[in-house]
Amino acid sequence: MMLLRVLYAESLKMKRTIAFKMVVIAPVAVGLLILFVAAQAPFSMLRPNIPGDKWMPLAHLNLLVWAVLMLPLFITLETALIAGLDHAENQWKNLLARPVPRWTFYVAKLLIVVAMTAASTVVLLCGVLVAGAILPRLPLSVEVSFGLPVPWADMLRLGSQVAGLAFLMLTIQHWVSLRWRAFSVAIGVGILATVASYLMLAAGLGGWEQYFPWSLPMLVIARTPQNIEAALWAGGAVGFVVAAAGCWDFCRRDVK
Amino acid sequence: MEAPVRIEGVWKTFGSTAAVRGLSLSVPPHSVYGFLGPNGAGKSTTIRMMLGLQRADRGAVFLFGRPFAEERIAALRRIGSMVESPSLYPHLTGRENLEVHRRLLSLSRAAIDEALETVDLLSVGDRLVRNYSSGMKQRLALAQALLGTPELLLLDEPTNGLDPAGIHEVRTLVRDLPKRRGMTVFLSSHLLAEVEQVATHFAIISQGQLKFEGTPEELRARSRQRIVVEVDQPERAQARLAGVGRKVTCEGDLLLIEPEDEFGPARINAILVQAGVAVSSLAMQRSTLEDAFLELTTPSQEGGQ
Repeated sequence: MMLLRVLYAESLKMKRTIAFKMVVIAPVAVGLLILFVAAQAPFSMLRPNIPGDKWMPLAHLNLLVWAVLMLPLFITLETALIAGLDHAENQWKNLLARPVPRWTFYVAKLLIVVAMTAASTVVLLCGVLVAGAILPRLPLSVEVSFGLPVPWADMLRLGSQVAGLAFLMLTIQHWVSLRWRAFSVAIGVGILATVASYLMLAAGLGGWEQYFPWSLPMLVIARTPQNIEAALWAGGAVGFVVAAAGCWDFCRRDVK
Repeated sequence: MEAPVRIEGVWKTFGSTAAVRGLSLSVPPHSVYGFLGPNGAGKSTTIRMMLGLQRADRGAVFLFGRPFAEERIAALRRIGSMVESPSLYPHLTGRENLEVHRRLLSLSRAAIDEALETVDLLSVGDRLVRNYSSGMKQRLALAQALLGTPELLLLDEPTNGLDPAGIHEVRTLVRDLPKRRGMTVFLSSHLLAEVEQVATHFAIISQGQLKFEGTPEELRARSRQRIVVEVDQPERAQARLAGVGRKVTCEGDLLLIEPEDEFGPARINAILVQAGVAVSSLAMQRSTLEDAFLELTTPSQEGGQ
């Protein structure tokens, strides 16, 4: 009940901020980029030489760019923005003096970013559908087909796995954003970690580096088969530990 | 009736610096309790400990007779607070800022209008806070504290940044709250002048320690009396009075003398006249509350408190 109250209050704070808009802007940007690239180079992007519908190759492409680049940046920005609303002007001295348990603020903000991440991934998959409807109507150099039925279940499974594997990264960014008041710390950590994970991908995943929290979502679209289920369980479990530790730290800290 | 606030031997240390040192105080119900001390005396830290924003290293805070550490949520349900400068969301309207807190407190929507009306911001409630003047922000923060008509209102430097008219408004509001709404107001300030017109009780702290607690009358009673004499020959007068064992401070043509039973104004006058010193005025002067405040909060030259 208390948690619902805090969620209700948190949702109002985000009014007129870019936080909600980013749920649409970030995946649409990826969708437009992939649509543009696929229209320019459909052979290399959509592999028309392999027979069958192109829904899954298109979904893979979108999720690849999403997992490697946009999702970590999206999570970095959203966690920093949501924490920054209360770091600015030190809102904590007002909020934490209300008759509400401290942990509810930490958990409510975490749930909001989790919901935003899930929603943005759904928007990305909707973008795949739109791109699938547009591409056959464009004068492409090769013929590609996006027939029916759309492989909803496979696309949703892939999308939810990518979003699920981002949970650990999300809990770390959430803790960093609430722990340090400076916006630059949260953004800096997110960007550095994203670049590091990209370099690891470029070097080729396969070793321990594939379990770097910011690299985990890439396991879904990695060329070599990965044990996604085990990674989801492990990432989820460690994510819960990080969230619990962050919440404990948040609850015991003095408000300056 | 239980004291809304009782603090017992509270200590708070930051690194090697003790901000609050064994502070104990008790706030009577329905009072306006002026919590005074110079900047850095430990006022804000004390208020933060009363709200659970900071934890005391030692000692205990009791709110409404119950230990705060054990019944934090229940106590905070009865408290409104404004700690230092206003903390508001500039991208939201005044009404939306209050709505955030209304949702946390689970109050009816009418509480927002009531709070806005109390601080005279009803007409600008739908304006974005980033367009408010600093005085309006201060009043909105006060409305936030008043939301839900708390039994205890903790205000930390509530008139900072206000113009004289704003200060007067806040003062009037604070003075009326105990009568109109049965509240107890805990009002911290570093300015005695700001508090002395409204406070029914005072606590004065300096360097984290309580120096005085009581009513304004009790504070006045502590203040010293002295005889102020205006003379034509201050050096001669000083020498004469020193000759009869009186300690005299000379400020221009004025002599400041500590009175004693046998050296009252009449005796002093007689001594000076006999010495050929012309006395143009002679009065008993009681030091002001401000003098008493300064005396209590100025560290002694020997390095003591």
